Amino acid sequence: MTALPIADTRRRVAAVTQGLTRMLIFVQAAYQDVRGALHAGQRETFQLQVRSVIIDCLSSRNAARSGEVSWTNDSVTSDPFAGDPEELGEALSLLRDAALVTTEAEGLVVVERLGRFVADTEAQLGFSEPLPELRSPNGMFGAIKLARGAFEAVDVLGLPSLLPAEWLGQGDGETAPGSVA
Amino acid sequence: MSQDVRRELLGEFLRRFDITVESLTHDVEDTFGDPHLVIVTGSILAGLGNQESDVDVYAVVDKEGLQFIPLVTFDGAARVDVRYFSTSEVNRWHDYRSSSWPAHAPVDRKAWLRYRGELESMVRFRIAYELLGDDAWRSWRQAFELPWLHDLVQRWWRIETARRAVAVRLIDDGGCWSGQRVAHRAGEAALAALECRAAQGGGSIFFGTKWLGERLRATSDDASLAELHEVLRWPERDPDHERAYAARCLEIVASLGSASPTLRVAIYPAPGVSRLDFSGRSMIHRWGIRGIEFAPALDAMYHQDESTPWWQGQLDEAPPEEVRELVRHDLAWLSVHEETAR
Repeated sequence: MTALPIADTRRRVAAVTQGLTRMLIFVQAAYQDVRGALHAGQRETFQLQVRSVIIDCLSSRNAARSGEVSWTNDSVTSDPFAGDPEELGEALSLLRDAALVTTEAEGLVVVERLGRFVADTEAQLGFSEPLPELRSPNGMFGAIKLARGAFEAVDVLGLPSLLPAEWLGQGDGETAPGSVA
Repeated sequence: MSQDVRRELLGEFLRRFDITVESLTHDVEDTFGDPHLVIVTGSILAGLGNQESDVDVYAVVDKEGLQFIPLVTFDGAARVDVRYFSTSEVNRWHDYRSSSWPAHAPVDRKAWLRYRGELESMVRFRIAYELLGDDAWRSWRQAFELPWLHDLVQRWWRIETARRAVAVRLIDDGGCWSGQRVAHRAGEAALAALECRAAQGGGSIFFGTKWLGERLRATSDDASLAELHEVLRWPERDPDHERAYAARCLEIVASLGSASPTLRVAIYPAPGVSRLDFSGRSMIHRWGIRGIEFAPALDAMYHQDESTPWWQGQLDEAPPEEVRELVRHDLAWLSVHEETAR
Protein backbone atom coordinates (compact mmCIF):
# COMPACT_ATOMS: atom_id res chain seq x y z
CA MET A 1 0.00 0.00 0.00
CA THR A 2 1.15 3.59 -0.65
CA ALA A 3 -0.27 6.76 0.89
CA LEU A 4 0.67 9.93 -0.99
CA PRO A 5 -0.33 13.26 0.57
CA ILE A 6 -1.91 15.53 -2.05
CA ALA A 7 -1.72 19.30 -1.80
CA ASP A 8 -3.71 19.96 -4.96
CA THR A 9 -6.32 17.37 -5.90
CA ARG A 10 -7.28 18.99 -9.21
CA ARG A 11 -3.67 19.14 -10.34
CA ARG A 12 -2.94 15.57 -9.32
CA VAL A 13 -6.00 14.14 -11.09
CA ALA A 14 -5.31 16.19 -14.23
CA ALA A 15 -1.62 15.31 -14.29
CA VAL A 16 -2.26 11.58 -13.86
CA THR A 17 -5.10 11.34 -16.39
CA GLN A 18 -3.44 13.55 -19.00
CA GLY A 19 -0.15 11.81 -18.39
CA LEU A 20 -1.73 8.40 -18.85
CA THR A 21 -3.15 9.41 -22.21
CA ARG A 22 0.03 11.07 -23.27
CA MET A 23 2.22 8.12 -22.41
CA LEU A 24 -0.07 5.52 -23.96
CA ILE A 25 -0.97 7.30 -27.18
CA PHE A 26 2.02 9.48 -28.01
CA VAL A 27 5.11 8.53 -26.03
CA GLN A 28 4.83 4.82 -26.72
CA ALA A 29 4.41 5.44 -30.45
CA ALA A 30 7.33 7.87 -30.55
CA TYR A 31 9.53 5.46 -28.59
CA GLN A 32 8.72 2.71 -31.11
CA ASP A 33 9.68 5.18 -33.84
CA VAL A 34 13.01 5.77 -32.08
CA ARG A 35 13.81 2.06 -32.15
CA GLY A 36 12.61 1.58 -35.72
CA ALA A 37 14.50 4.57 -37.03
CA LEU A 38 17.73 3.53 -35.31
CA HIS A 39 17.54 0.07 -36.82
CA ALA A 40 16.77 1.51 -40.27
CA GLY A 41 19.56 4.09 -40.11
CA GLN A 42 17.05 6.96 -40.29
CA ARG A 43 19.16 9.41 -38.35
CA GLU A 44 16.90 12.45 -38.37
CA THR A 45 13.77 10.44 -37.56
CA PHE A 46 15.64 8.94 -34.62
CA GLN A 47 16.58 12.37 -33.29
CA LEU A 48 13.19 13.94 -33.91
CA GLN A 49 11.39 11.17 -32.08
CA VAL A 50 13.83 11.23 -29.15
CA ARG A 51 12.93 14.91 -29.00
CA SER A 52 9.23 14.10 -29.08
CA VAL A 53 9.51 11.58 -26.24
CA ILE A 54 11.55 13.95 -24.09
CA ILE A 55 9.21 16.91 -24.60
CA ASP A 56 6.15 14.84 -23.73
CA CYS A 57 7.80 13.32 -20.65
CA LEU A 58 8.97 16.73 -19.41
CA SER A 59 5.49 18.13 -19.93
CA SER A 60 4.02 15.24 -17.99
CA ARG A 61 6.41 15.71 -15.09
CA ASN A 62 5.90 19.44 -15.11
CA ALA A 63 2.14 19.03 -15.04
CA ALA A 64 2.43 17.24 -11.71
CA ARG A 65 4.33 20.15 -10.18
CA SER A 66 3.58 23.67 -11.39
CA GLY A 67 3.17 23.59 -15.16
CA GLU A 68 0.19 23.41 -17.44
CA VAL A 69 -1.73 20.17 -16.97
CA SER A 70 -3.02 19.91 -20.54
CA TRP A 71 -0.81 20.28 -23.53
CA THR A 72 -1.45 19.68 -27.15
CA ASN A 73 0.43 19.45 -30.40
CA ASP A 74 -1.28 22.61 -31.64
CA SER A 75 0.02 24.89 -28.90
CA VAL A 76 2.97 27.10 -29.83
CA THR A 77 3.44 28.55 -26.34
CA SER A 78 3.53 25.58 -23.98
CA ASP A 79 6.59 25.32 -21.76
CA PRO A 80 7.80 21.82 -20.95
CA PHE A 81 11.02 23.10 -19.44
CA ALA A 82 9.81 24.80 -16.28
CA GLY A 83 10.88 21.75 -14.25
CA ASP A 84 13.36 20.41 -11.78
CA PRO A 85 16.93 21.20 -12.85
CA GLU A 86 18.20 17.74 -12.00
CA GLU A 87 15.91 15.85 -14.36
CA LEU A 88 16.18 18.62 -16.93
CA GLY A 89 19.87 17.84 -17.07
CA GLU A 90 19.28 14.23 -18.10
CA ALA A 91 16.61 15.31 -20.60
CA LEU A 92 18.85 17.84 -22.29
CA SER A 93 21.77 15.44 -22.22
CA LEU A 94 19.64 12.85 -24.05
CA LEU A 95 18.61 15.42 -26.65
CA ARG A 96 22.22 16.41 -27.32
CA ASP A 97 23.54 12.85 -27.26
CA ALA A 98 20.89 11.72 -29.74
CA ALA A 99 22.31 14.21 -32.22
CA LEU A 100 25.80 12.75 -31.79
CA VAL A 101 24.87 9.13 -32.51
CA THR A 102 26.74 7.71 -35.49
CA THR A 103 26.39 3.95 -34.94
CA GLU A 104 23.59 1.63 -33.95
CA ALA A 105 25.51 0.66 -30.82
CA GLU A 106 25.69 4.29 -29.70
CA GLY A 107 22.03 4.67 -30.53
CA LEU A 108 21.10 1.69 -28.37
CA VAL A 109 22.70 3.38 -25.39
CA VAL A 110 20.50 6.42 -25.99
CA VAL A 111 17.44 4.19 -26.45
CA GLU A 112 18.11 2.47 -23.13
CA ARG A 113 18.53 5.79 -21.31
CA LEU A 114 15.40 7.09 -22.97
CA GLY A 115 13.50 4.01 -21.86
CA ARG A 116 14.54 4.67 -18.25
CA PHE A 117 13.45 8.30 -18.58
CA VAL A 118 10.06 7.15 -19.79
CA ALA A 119 9.76 4.56 -17.02
CA ASP A 120 10.67 7.17 -14.40
CA THR A 121 8.01 9.48 -15.83
CA GLU A 122 5.40 6.74 -15.54
CA ALA A 123 6.49 6.07 -11.97
CA GLN A 124 6.03 9.75 -11.11
CA LEU A 125 2.44 9.41 -12.26
CA GLY A 126 2.01 6.77 -9.57
CA PHE A 127 1.98 3.70 -11.82
CA SER A 128 3.91 1.03 -9.98
CA GLU A 129 4.15 -1.23 -13.02
CA PRO A 130 5.03 -0.42 -16.62
CA LEU A 131 2.05 0.76 -18.61
CA PRO A 132 0.52 -1.73 -21.07
CA GLU A 133 1.69 -1.37 -24.64
CA LEU A 134 -1.36 0.22 -26.21
CA ARG A 135 -0.52 -0.86 -29.73
CA SER A 136 -0.38 -4.57 -28.90
CA PRO A 137 -3.12 -7.19 -29.12
CA ASN A 138 -4.00 -6.89 -25.40
CA GLY A 139 -2.94 -3.29 -24.99
CA MET A 140 -6.35 -1.68 -25.35
CA PHE A 141 -7.79 -3.99 -22.69
CA GLY A 142 -5.03 -3.02 -20.27
CA ALA A 143 -5.46 0.67 -21.06
CA ILE A 144 -9.20 0.55 -20.47
CA LYS A 145 -8.58 -1.13 -17.14
CA LEU A 146 -6.13 1.61 -16.13
CA ALA A 147 -8.47 4.35 -17.23
CA ARG A 148 -11.32 2.95 -15.16
CA GLY A 149 -12.93 5.82 -13.30
CA ALA A 150 -10.68 8.41 -14.92
CA PHE A 151 -13.31 9.76 -17.32
CA GLU A 152 -15.73 10.21 -14.46
CA ALA A 153 -13.06 11.85 -12.30
CA VAL A 154 -12.23 14.50 -14.91
CA ASP A 155 -15.92 15.11 -15.57
CA VAL A 156 -16.68 15.63 -11.90
CA LEU A 157 -13.78 18.05 -11.48
CA GLY A 158 -14.20 19.83 -14.82
CA LEU A 159 -10.74 18.90 -16.02
CA PRO A 160 -9.47 18.37 -19.58
CA SER A 161 -10.66 15.21 -21.31
CA LEU A 162 -8.40 12.19 -21.46
CA LEU A 163 -8.85 11.91 -25.20
CA PRO A 164 -7.02 14.18 -27.67
CA ALA A 165 -9.09 16.99 -29.19
CA GLU A 166 -8.74 15.42 -32.65
CA TRP A 167 -10.65 12.39 -31.37
CA LEU A 168 -13.47 14.36 -29.79
CA GLY A 169 -14.83 16.05 -32.89
CA GLN A 170 -13.48 19.36 -31.69
CA GLY A 171 -12.57 20.04 -35.31
CA ASP A 172 -16.14 20.75 -36.32
CA GLY A 173 -18.22 19.75 -33.34
CA GLU A 174 -20.01 16.97 -35.22
CA THR A 175 -17.97 14.53 -37.18
CA ALA A 176 -14.26 14.33 -36.62
CA PRO A 177 -11.82 14.29 -39.52
CA GLY A 178 -10.29 10.87 -39.62
CA SER A 179 -6.75 11.79 -38.86
CA VAL A 180 -4.51 12.68 -36.02
CA ALA A 181 -1.18 14.46 -36.05
CA MET B 1 4.64 7.48 -57.35
CA SER B 2 2.56 5.00 -59.33
CA GLN B 3 0.11 2.47 -57.92
CA ASP B 4 2.52 -0.27 -59.02
CA VAL B 5 5.31 1.19 -56.88
CA ARG B 6 2.98 1.62 -53.92
CA ARG B 7 1.80 -1.96 -54.42
CA GLU B 8 5.40 -3.12 -54.17
CA LEU B 9 6.00 -1.07 -51.01
CA LEU B 10 2.84 -2.54 -49.51
CA GLY B 11 3.95 -5.97 -50.65
CA GLU B 12 7.14 -5.73 -48.58
CA PHE B 13 5.04 -4.97 -45.49
CA LEU B 14 2.65 -7.82 -46.22
CA ARG B 15 5.46 -10.32 -46.79
CA ARG B 16 7.11 -9.32 -43.52
CA PHE B 17 3.97 -10.32 -41.64
CA ASP B 18 2.82 -13.06 -44.00
CA ILE B 19 -0.56 -11.47 -44.64
CA THR B 20 -2.46 -10.70 -47.82
CA VAL B 21 -3.98 -7.63 -49.42
CA GLU B 22 -7.38 -9.25 -49.06
CA SER B 23 -6.95 -9.54 -45.31
CA LEU B 24 -6.55 -5.75 -45.13
CA THR B 25 -9.93 -5.32 -46.76
CA HIS B 26 -11.41 -7.80 -44.30
CA ASP B 27 -10.16 -5.56 -41.47
CA VAL B 28 -12.77 -3.02 -42.55
CA GLU B 29 -15.90 -3.77 -40.60
CA ASP B 30 -19.29 -3.66 -42.26
CA THR B 31 -20.81 -2.11 -39.14
CA PHE B 32 -20.90 1.26 -40.89
CA GLY B 33 -22.21 -0.12 -44.18
CA ASP B 34 -20.41 -1.32 -47.28
CA PRO B 35 -17.49 1.01 -47.98
CA HIS B 36 -17.38 2.98 -51.24
CA LEU B 37 -13.62 3.29 -51.19
CA VAL B 38 -10.89 1.53 -49.22
CA ILE B 39 -7.26 2.58 -49.42
CA VAL B 40 -4.04 1.73 -47.63
CA THR B 41 -1.89 4.67 -46.65
CA GLY B 42 0.85 5.68 -44.25
CA SER B 43 4.59 6.17 -44.15
CA ILE B 44 5.32 2.80 -45.74
CA LEU B 45 3.24 3.71 -48.79
CA ALA B 46 5.11 7.02 -48.93
CA GLY B 47 8.40 5.14 -49.10
CA LEU B 48 9.47 6.44 -45.68
CA GLY B 49 8.56 3.86 -43.05
CA ASN B 50 10.70 1.30 -41.25
CA GLN B 51 10.20 -2.05 -39.56
CA GLU B 52 8.28 -0.49 -36.67
CA SER B 53 5.84 1.27 -39.00
CA ASP B 54 2.30 0.13 -39.44
CA VAL B 55 -0.21 0.83 -42.19
CA ASP B 56 -3.46 2.76 -42.11
CA VAL B 57 -6.58 1.57 -43.89
CA TYR B 58 -9.05 4.33 -44.71
CA ALA B 59 -12.64 3.53 -45.62
CA VAL B 60 -15.30 5.89 -46.97
CA VAL B 61 -18.81 4.91 -45.85
CA ASP B 62 -22.28 6.41 -45.86
CA LYS B 63 -22.61 6.40 -42.08
CA GLU B 64 -22.88 9.91 -40.65
CA GLY B 65 -21.76 11.34 -37.34
CA LEU B 66 -18.68 9.19 -37.02
CA GLN B 67 -16.55 9.90 -33.99
CA PHE B 68 -12.90 9.51 -34.81
CA ILE B 69 -11.01 7.09 -32.71
CA PRO B 70 -8.46 5.00 -34.58
CA LEU B 71 -9.27 1.34 -34.31
CA VAL B 72 -6.12 -0.73 -34.13
CA THR B 73 -6.50 -4.21 -35.49
CA PHE B 74 -3.93 -6.92 -35.67
CA ASP B 75 -3.45 -9.09 -38.69
CA GLY B 76 -1.17 -11.60 -37.08
CA ALA B 77 1.64 -9.40 -35.78
CA ALA B 78 0.92 -6.57 -38.21
CA ARG B 79 -0.65 -3.46 -36.73
CA VAL B 80 -3.31 -1.91 -38.92
CA ASP B 81 -5.11 1.33 -38.02
CA VAL B 82 -8.57 1.46 -39.57
CA ARG B 83 -10.26 4.83 -39.92
CA TYR B 84 -13.70 5.61 -41.25
CA PHE B 85 -14.87 8.71 -43.10
CA SER B 86 -18.41 9.64 -44.07
CA THR B 87 -19.18 10.39 -47.72
CA SER B 88 -20.69 13.76 -46.85
CA GLU B 89 -17.52 14.75 -45.03
CA VAL B 90 -15.09 13.78 -47.76
CA ASN B 91 -17.23 15.20 -50.57
CA ARG B 92 -16.64 18.64 -49.06
CA TRP B 93 -12.89 18.34 -49.47
CA HIS B 94 -12.83 19.15 -53.19
CA ASP B 95 -14.14 22.60 -52.24
CA TYR B 96 -10.63 23.33 -51.02
CA ARG B 97 -9.52 23.47 -54.67
CA SER B 98 -11.03 26.90 -54.93
CA SER B 99 -10.38 28.14 -51.43
CA SER B 100 -7.40 29.66 -49.70
CA TRP B 101 -5.90 29.25 -46.29
CA PRO B 102 -6.09 30.99 -44.02
CA ALA B 103 -9.38 32.77 -44.34
CA HIS B 104 -9.78 36.55 -44.28
CA ALA B 105 -10.90 36.31 -40.70
CA PRO B 106 -9.40 35.11 -37.42
CA VAL B 107 -9.05 31.34 -37.19
CA ASP B 108 -10.03 29.80 -33.88
CA ARG B 109 -8.64 26.53 -32.60
CA LYS B 110 -11.63 24.49 -33.71
CA ALA B 111 -11.30 25.69 -37.30
CA TRP B 112 -7.54 25.29 -37.23
CA LEU B 113 -7.77 21.67 -36.03
CA ARG B 114 -10.46 20.85 -38.59
CA TYR B 115 -8.44 22.26 -41.47
CA ARG B 116 -5.22 20.59 -40.41
CA GLY B 117 -6.98 17.27 -39.99
CA GLU B 118 -8.67 17.45 -43.38
CA LEU B 119 -5.48 18.55 -45.10
CA GLU B 120 -3.59 15.62 -43.66
CA SER B 121 -6.38 13.24 -44.59
CA MET B 122 -6.41 14.48 -48.19
CA VAL B 123 -2.65 13.94 -48.40
CA ARG B 124 -3.07 10.42 -47.07
CA PHE B 125 -5.76 9.65 -49.61
CA ARG B 126 -3.33 10.89 -52.25
CA ILE B 127 -0.36 8.86 -51.01
CA ALA B 128 -2.19 5.56 -50.97
CA TYR B 129 -2.82 2.24 -52.65
CA GLU B 130 -6.42 1.50 -53.57
CA LEU B 131 -7.92 -1.74 -52.30
CA LEU B 132 -11.53 -1.19 -53.28
CA GLY B 133 -13.53 1.43 -55.14
CA ASP B 134 -15.48 2.12 -58.28
CA ASP B 135 -14.51 4.52 -61.07
CA ALA B 136 -16.31 7.47 -59.50
CA TRP B 137 -14.49 7.14 -56.19
CA ARG B 138 -11.22 6.41 -57.93
CA SER B 139 -11.68 9.65 -59.83
CA TRP B 140 -12.53 11.45 -56.58
CA ARG B 141 -9.24 10.28 -55.06
CA GLN B 142 -7.15 11.09 -58.12
CA ALA B 143 -8.15 14.75 -57.83
CA PHE B 144 -5.78 14.93 -54.86
CA GLU B 145 -2.86 14.15 -57.13
CA LEU B 146 -3.29 17.47 -58.94
CA PRO B 147 -1.09 20.45 -58.00
CA TRP B 148 -3.74 22.27 -55.96
CA LEU B 149 -3.31 19.98 -52.95
CA HIS B 150 0.43 20.38 -53.10
CA ASP B 151 -0.01 24.16 -53.11
CA LEU B 152 -2.31 23.99 -50.09
CA VAL B 153 0.24 22.01 -48.09
CA GLN B 154 3.04 24.36 -48.98
CA ARG B 155 0.85 27.28 -48.00
CA TRP B 156 -0.05 25.53 -44.72
CA TRP B 157 3.60 25.28 -43.73
CA ARG B 158 4.31 28.86 -44.77
CA ILE B 159 1.58 30.08 -42.45
CA GLU B 160 2.58 27.66 -39.70
CA THR B 161 6.14 28.99 -39.87
CA ALA B 162 4.84 32.53 -39.38
CA ARG B 163 2.61 31.37 -36.51
CA ARG B 164 5.45 29.66 -34.66
CA ALA B 165 7.80 32.58 -35.24
CA VAL B 166 5.29 35.02 -33.76
CA ALA B 167 5.05 32.80 -30.70
CA VAL B 168 8.82 32.88 -30.21
CA ARG B 169 8.79 36.66 -30.27
CA LEU B 170 5.95 36.88 -27.78
CA ILE B 171 7.33 34.41 -25.24
CA ASP B 172 10.80 35.87 -25.32
CA ASP B 173 11.56 37.92 -22.26
CA GLY B 174 12.50 41.38 -23.36
CA GLY B 175 14.64 40.44 -26.33
CA CYS B 176 16.93 38.08 -24.46
CA TRP B 177 16.29 35.19 -26.87
CA SER B 178 17.70 32.77 -24.31
CA GLY B 179 16.20 29.99 -22.27
CA GLN B 180 15.29 26.46 -23.23
CA ARG B 181 11.69 27.37 -23.95
CA VAL B 182 12.64 30.02 -26.51
CA ALA B 183 15.18 27.66 -28.03
CA HIS B 184 12.60 24.91 -28.31
CA ARG B 185 10.04 27.16 -29.96
CA ALA B 186 12.60 28.67 -32.32
CA GLY B 187 13.52 25.12 -33.30
CA GLU B 188 9.88 24.31 -33.97
CA ALA B 189 9.60 27.39 -36.19
CA ALA B 190 12.69 26.30 -38.11
CA LEU B 191 11.22 22.83 -38.57
CA ALA B 192 8.08 24.38 -40.07
CA ALA B 193 10.26 26.41 -42.44
CA LEU B 194 12.06 23.26 -43.52
CA GLU B 195 8.70 21.54 -44.04
CA CYS B 196 7.83 24.40 -46.37
CA ARG B 197 11.10 23.86 -48.26
CA ALA B 198 10.42 20.12 -48.50
CA ALA B 199 7.09 20.85 -50.18
CA GLN B 200 8.55 23.38 -52.62
CA GLY B 201 9.27 22.37 -56.17
CA GLY B 202 6.97 19.38 -56.11
CA GLY B 203 8.65 17.68 -53.16
CA SER B 204 7.03 15.38 -50.67
CA ILE B 205 3.97 16.66 -48.83
CA PHE B 206 3.51 13.68 -46.53
CA PHE B 207 2.58 14.96 -43.06
CA GLY B 208 4.80 13.91 -40.21
CA THR B 209 7.78 16.05 -39.28
CA LYS B 210 9.51 12.93 -37.98
CA TRP B 211 10.05 11.99 -41.64
CA LEU B 212 11.46 15.37 -42.65
CA GLY B 213 15.02 14.09 -42.96
CA GLU B 214 14.01 11.20 -45.20
CA ARG B 215 11.89 13.49 -47.37
CA LEU B 216 14.68 16.02 -47.83
CA ARG B 217 17.11 13.23 -48.62
CA ALA B 218 14.72 11.81 -51.24
CA THR B 219 14.77 15.13 -53.11
CA SER B 220 18.54 15.54 -52.66
CA ASP B 221 18.00 18.81 -50.79
CA ASP B 222 21.38 18.68 -49.07
CA ALA B 223 21.28 22.30 -47.99
CA SER B 224 18.00 21.89 -46.11
CA LEU B 225 19.18 18.59 -44.68
CA ALA B 226 22.27 20.32 -43.29
CA GLU B 227 20.04 22.96 -41.73
CA LEU B 228 17.87 20.24 -40.21
CA HIS B 229 20.98 18.80 -38.60
CA GLU B 230 21.71 22.20 -37.11
CA VAL B 231 18.21 22.41 -35.66
CA LEU B 232 18.57 18.93 -34.18
CA ARG B 233 21.74 19.87 -32.28
CA TRP B 234 20.06 20.89 -29.02
CA PRO B 235 21.74 23.82 -27.23
CA GLU B 236 23.38 23.48 -23.86
CA ARG B 237 21.64 25.04 -20.89
CA ASP B 238 23.60 28.26 -21.19
CA PRO B 239 22.26 31.67 -22.28
CA ASP B 240 24.90 32.19 -24.97
CA HIS B 241 24.34 28.74 -26.52
CA GLU B 242 20.59 29.10 -26.32
CA ARG B 243 20.72 32.55 -27.88
CA ALA B 244 22.95 31.37 -30.72
CA TYR B 245 20.70 28.37 -31.36
CA ALA B 246 17.54 30.48 -31.42
CA ALA B 247 19.21 33.01 -33.70
CA ARG B 248 20.26 30.30 -36.15
CA CYS B 249 16.77 28.80 -36.15
CA LEU B 250 15.23 32.19 -36.85
CA GLU B 251 17.70 32.68 -39.70
CA ILE B 252 16.36 29.49 -41.24
CA VAL B 253 12.86 30.90 -40.83
CA ALA B 254 13.91 34.20 -42.43
CA SER B 255 15.39 32.38 -45.41
CA LEU B 256 11.83 31.64 -46.58
CA GLY B 257 11.45 35.34 -47.19
CA SER B 258 9.33 37.88 -45.38
CA ALA B 259 5.84 36.85 -44.46
CA SER B 260 3.10 38.58 -46.39
CA PRO B 261 2.30 42.02 -44.95
CA THR B 262 -1.38 41.11 -45.14
CA LEU B 263 -1.06 38.41 -42.47
CA ARG B 264 -2.40 39.01 -39.01
CA VAL B 265 -2.08 37.19 -35.69
CA ALA B 266 -5.09 36.50 -33.49
CA ILE B 267 -4.70 35.58 -29.81
CA TYR B 268 -7.46 33.59 -28.15
CA PRO B 269 -8.10 32.18 -24.69
CA ALA B 270 -6.37 28.80 -24.43
CA PRO B 271 -8.45 25.65 -23.88
CA GLY B 272 -9.78 25.52 -20.35
CA VAL B 273 -9.45 29.25 -19.66
CA SER B 274 -11.92 30.89 -17.30
CA ARG B 275 -12.08 34.29 -15.67
CA LEU B 276 -12.81 35.18 -12.05
CA ASP B 277 -13.33 38.70 -10.70
CA PHE B 278 -13.31 39.43 -6.99
CA SER B 279 -11.81 41.81 -4.43
CA GLY B 280 -10.65 44.26 -7.06
CA ARG B 281 -8.72 41.74 -9.12
CA SER B 282 -9.16 39.42 -12.08
CA MET B 283 -7.87 35.89 -12.41
CA ILE B 284 -7.42 34.26 -15.76
CA HIS B 285 -6.83 30.59 -15.12
CA ARG B 286 -6.84 27.23 -16.85
CA TRP B 287 -8.91 24.44 -15.34
CA GLY B 288 -8.95 26.17 -11.97
CA ILE B 289 -5.34 25.09 -11.48
CA ARG B 290 -2.93 27.77 -12.68
CA GLY B 291 -3.19 31.26 -14.04
CA ILE B 292 -2.44 34.93 -13.54
CA GLU B 293 -3.96 37.35 -11.08
CA PHE B 294 -4.26 40.86 -12.48
CA ALA B 295 -4.78 43.94 -10.36
CA PRO B 296 -6.64 46.11 -10.87
CA ALA B 297 -9.38 44.04 -12.50
CA LEU B 298 -9.16 43.53 -16.25
CA ASP B 299 -11.16 45.13 -18.97
CA ALA B 300 -14.17 43.15 -20.19
CA MET B 301 -12.31 42.28 -23.44
CA TYR B 302 -10.52 39.49 -21.54
CA HIS B 303 -13.32 37.00 -21.79
CA GLN B 304 -13.23 33.19 -21.66
CA ASP B 305 -14.78 32.43 -25.05
CA GLU B 306 -12.31 30.28 -27.00
CA SER B 307 -13.98 31.19 -30.31
CA THR B 308 -13.36 34.94 -30.04
CA PRO B 309 -9.89 36.47 -29.99
CA TRP B 310 -8.73 38.74 -27.22
CA TRP B 311 -6.61 40.65 -29.66
CA GLN B 312 -5.47 40.64 -33.25
CA GLY B 313 -2.76 42.62 -34.98
CA GLN B 314 0.12 42.56 -37.41
CA LEU B 315 2.73 39.84 -37.06
CA ASP B 316 5.38 42.16 -35.65
CA GLU B 317 3.00 44.31 -33.63
CA ALA B 318 3.28 44.47 -29.84
CA PRO B 319 0.02 43.37 -28.20
CA PRO B 320 -1.20 44.94 -24.95
CA GLU B 321 0.97 43.93 -22.01
CA GLU B 322 -1.85 41.87 -20.51
CA VAL B 323 -2.07 39.81 -23.70
CA ARG B 324 1.65 39.32 -23.71
CA GLU B 325 1.57 38.07 -20.11
CA LEU B 326 -1.23 35.68 -21.00
CA VAL B 327 0.82 34.31 -23.90
CA ARG B 328 3.99 34.05 -21.80
CA HIS B 329 2.16 32.07 -19.15
CA ASP B 330 0.60 29.71 -21.68
CA LEU B 331 -2.93 30.91 -21.10
CA ALA B 332 -3.44 31.84 -24.75
CA TRP B 333 -3.73 30.15 -28.12
CA LEU B 334 -2.72 31.90 -31.30
CA SER B 335 -3.26 31.62 -35.01
CA VAL B 336 -2.41 33.55 -38.17
CA HIS B 337 -4.91 34.69 -40.81
CA GLU B 338 -5.22 37.01 -43.78
CA GLU B 339 -6.34 40.50 -42.88
CA THR B 340 -10.08 40.87 -42.86
CA ALA B 341 -11.45 41.82 -46.26
CA ARG B 342 -12.66 45.39 -46.34
